[in-house]
Amino acid sequence: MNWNGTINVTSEEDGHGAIHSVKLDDFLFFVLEERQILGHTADRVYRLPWGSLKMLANLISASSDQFEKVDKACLANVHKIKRLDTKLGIAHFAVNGGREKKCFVAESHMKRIQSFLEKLQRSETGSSEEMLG
Amino acid sequence: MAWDGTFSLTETEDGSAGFVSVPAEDVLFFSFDRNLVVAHTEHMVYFAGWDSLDRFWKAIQGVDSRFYRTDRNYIANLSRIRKLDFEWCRGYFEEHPNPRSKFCYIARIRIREVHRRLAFMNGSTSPQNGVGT
Repeated sequence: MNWNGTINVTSEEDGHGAIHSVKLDDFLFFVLEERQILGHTADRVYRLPWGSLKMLANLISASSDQFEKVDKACLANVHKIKRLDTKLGIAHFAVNGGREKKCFVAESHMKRIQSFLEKLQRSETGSSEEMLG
Repeated sequence: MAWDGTFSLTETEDGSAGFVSVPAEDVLFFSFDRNLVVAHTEHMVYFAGWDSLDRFWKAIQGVDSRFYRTDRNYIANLSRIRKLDFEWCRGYFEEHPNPRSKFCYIARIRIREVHRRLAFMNGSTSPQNGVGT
């Protein structure tokens, strides 16, 4: 059985928690908050059906290579990180409508994420200087 | 983004098998078993991830009218039910079920409503149309 690249989520913004299908690649990061996993896209926040970040990490790693664990409570789409603040431990994502989205990167994951972004930058533009602050 | 008519499910309880997209019409029913929402197709069982059937029901209720909460622990795809057993309050997904056939339970208080909906879906008010007793 194939996977079409979307995942089921619910949106509280529509008032009744109806099911939606959102492309996994559209998510910037997933964060565990109060026993709920919230998925942030550039302009919305969705709630995921899964309640365990470990389970979500397993699902995602088996289906996509875009996400990395950046904190004990956060999985980030490393392909969407625009800037990594290594001093404050914050990953900045694309700005949408003036609202910047960001998530924390734990010190223990920083070097791995840094080298991942460097590799990514090298393969895309040949320079990693702009992204890493 | 709206729902695309598929459920993002997984074959393993820990998510290690990754996502699969299962079209809604292929799902016979969802059940709540050992604190997990499980989706049953004709030949497979998948894990859906929702932490409660209530939440899943809320998500799907206004979106796909084929699905109906037949019992506290079951949400059935009415378009796949082929036979109702009024005595044991079961819905079967084949016209001539055998002891190994998949079935969903239907609360006694809801079986008349299920019967009415099935008749409506089959384009007739006849209680015998497409539904065995």
